[in-house]
Amino acid sequence: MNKLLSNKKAIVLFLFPAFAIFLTFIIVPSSVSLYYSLHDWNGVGAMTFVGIKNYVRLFVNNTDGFTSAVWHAGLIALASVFIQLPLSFCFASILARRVRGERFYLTVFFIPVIISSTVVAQLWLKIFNGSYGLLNYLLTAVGLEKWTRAWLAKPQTALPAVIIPIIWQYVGYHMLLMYTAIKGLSSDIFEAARIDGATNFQTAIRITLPNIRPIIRVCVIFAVIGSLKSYDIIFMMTKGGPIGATEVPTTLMVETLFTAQRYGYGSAMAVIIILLCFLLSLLIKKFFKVE
Amino acid sequence: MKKTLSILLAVVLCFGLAACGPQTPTDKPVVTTAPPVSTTAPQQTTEKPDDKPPARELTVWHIYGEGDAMHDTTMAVIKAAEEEFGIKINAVSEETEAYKVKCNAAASGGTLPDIFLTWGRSVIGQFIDAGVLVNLSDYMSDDIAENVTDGSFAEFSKDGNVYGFTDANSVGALFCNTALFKKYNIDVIPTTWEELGGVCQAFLDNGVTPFCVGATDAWTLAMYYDIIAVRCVGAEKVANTFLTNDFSDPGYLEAAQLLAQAVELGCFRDDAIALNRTEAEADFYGGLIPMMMQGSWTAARVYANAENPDDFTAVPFPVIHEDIAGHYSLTGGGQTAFCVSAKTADPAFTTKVAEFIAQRLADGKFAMGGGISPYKSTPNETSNALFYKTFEMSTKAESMTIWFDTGLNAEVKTVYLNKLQELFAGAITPEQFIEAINSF
Repeated sequence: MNKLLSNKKAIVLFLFPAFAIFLTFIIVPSSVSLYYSLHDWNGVGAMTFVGIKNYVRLFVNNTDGFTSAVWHAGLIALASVFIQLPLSFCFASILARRVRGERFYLTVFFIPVIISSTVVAQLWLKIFNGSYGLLNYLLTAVGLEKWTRAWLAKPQTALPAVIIPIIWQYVGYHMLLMYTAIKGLSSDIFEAARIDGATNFQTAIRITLPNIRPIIRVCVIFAVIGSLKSYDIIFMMTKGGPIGATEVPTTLMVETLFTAQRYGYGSAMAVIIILLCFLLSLLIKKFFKVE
Repeated sequence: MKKTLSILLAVVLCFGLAACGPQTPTDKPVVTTAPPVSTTAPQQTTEKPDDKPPARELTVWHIYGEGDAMHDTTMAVIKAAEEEFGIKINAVSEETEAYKVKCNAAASGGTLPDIFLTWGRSVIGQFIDAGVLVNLSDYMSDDIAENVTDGSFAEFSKDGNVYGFTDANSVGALFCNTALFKKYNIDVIPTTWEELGGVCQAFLDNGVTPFCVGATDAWTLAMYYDIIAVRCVGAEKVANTFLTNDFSDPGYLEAAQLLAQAVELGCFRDDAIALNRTEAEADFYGGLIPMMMQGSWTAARVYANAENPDDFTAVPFPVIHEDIAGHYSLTGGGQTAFCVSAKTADPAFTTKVAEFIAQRLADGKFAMGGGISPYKSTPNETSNALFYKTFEMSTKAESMTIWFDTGLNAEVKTVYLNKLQELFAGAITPEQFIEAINSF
């Protein structure tokens, strides 16, 4: 094996497929976006070089709501990290204790992950509908009629209303990752904790959590990056509305590129999204300090 | 041995990757921009057993895919064109939004198909400016020039040259459910703004929301502002605004104020900002909401969705200032048109095929109630009586103002639609709305 690893030709050959994929699907499109972002272009006619003007426009005297879109994505990321992941951890911890129907619950929690986002969006649209929505029906049924409203029509409630399906859809995904990690831990340490008199809660926080740090780090990266890239459910539920209340960088970017046909400015948004993804990944890695 | 094995593994991986790549032309038909076989002169070939020249091939892009009401008609027209000209046509369809993106990408990459469908004014304008279209005036036959109704090519022309053969015109109309009017003893179909106010109040007094709109799809909201603005500003000045982006005429502010007042009165569902067109229109077709301002294509949807289509009528939007714009100052114009790519092998021949497809499709759309034909030769017959009312309206038009989201350039249009949603939601005042759209 050592001989193989010291053979540079073999290393190049093995790395080539991954490099080719990385080059074709990451480096080239990102470079093209970077190139476009330095131009003013409607996608059809001639391009005009404008330097960093598009980037300046994103952050200085911005009028199209890019900064608030980034803020909304940040809120989704916070909700994912502080609501979705703890929920996933709770479910994973409970299921890993060999509860009855463990496999059944695993499947049930994972179902939203395999359902198409279009279906998920339609499902939650029906729940939040102001006229016939399930949520308003339930609130009315329990005497809380004054709380009923058109959830997706009000800027104050629209963002939480789209965050809930996003969290709901991927709880099972993170749960499965954590569940697998917990199952991989030696049963001796749990045995020892029980002998020492640790409660289930203490075991989960002091034993399980520190021992699955690497997978927690992966989950946090997925959750944060996924939040920055979130598009499908938001687009299908609100299209970024009402009046930009659920706008995230991706929905704004698509509108800028393909509706406003400002390919240069939209590409600048794409570059910023890529940079934010890289930056946050690095920060999370540094925070967890896991080799 | 290990070295050989490692090289072998890498080669297998590379083959695996290659297998995941796009299929070769022999695996699957590939749509090409330029016809595989020249349309100018048949190529000699010795490969075919019957020694006949291969059929000419053209590629046509359109938006009437399977599931669309116009799909069967479109495919029948394509087949008729193949028979008429003895050619093979590769017809490729996409969903509307994806189609627009595809056309832009193809235009920038120089891969537009021989014939493709597009939209008027600013949309076709960018293709004209980029020089990717054939100037159809150079090749069009006298037949189509004489056959087309006045002004029907206007949205697809520049400097007197035609770049697209339209396949349908449309007109904006106020669709009313007369059964609901009768149910609440409202015997007036409004013709003036004052009458409209009275009708709205009567419906509101009965707990009925007067107007239908799905404002998530902002263009449906624009249908209202467009016509109110035309009635407050005048068609000529609006046409000028499309060239100058100047919204300083006080009529635009008045139109915004009237729309805002209507919202404040409760003339639209309070969650309309969160509804898309389909969701919102379900209330209209289902007989829950009595009025909707929409394009003439709505007639086909009424026939497809309403329990009793005969309950519905279509009238011009009420007059606001008689001295500025009359009852028949309408919104509408050319919907879509077929263009010819500058890269087509034989522009003269391809133009003839485009002429044929546009005219035949216009006939089919009219028969189905999907669009007003821009051609005099179209048989004056349709199975949709509601659609025929919109057609009659169009024949009486004093002016026809293209929808704002087609007339304005893409950047202004986006701001216009976004700010209109904000106005509708009460997030900005009419003054702020005008200030925002007037900033270009």
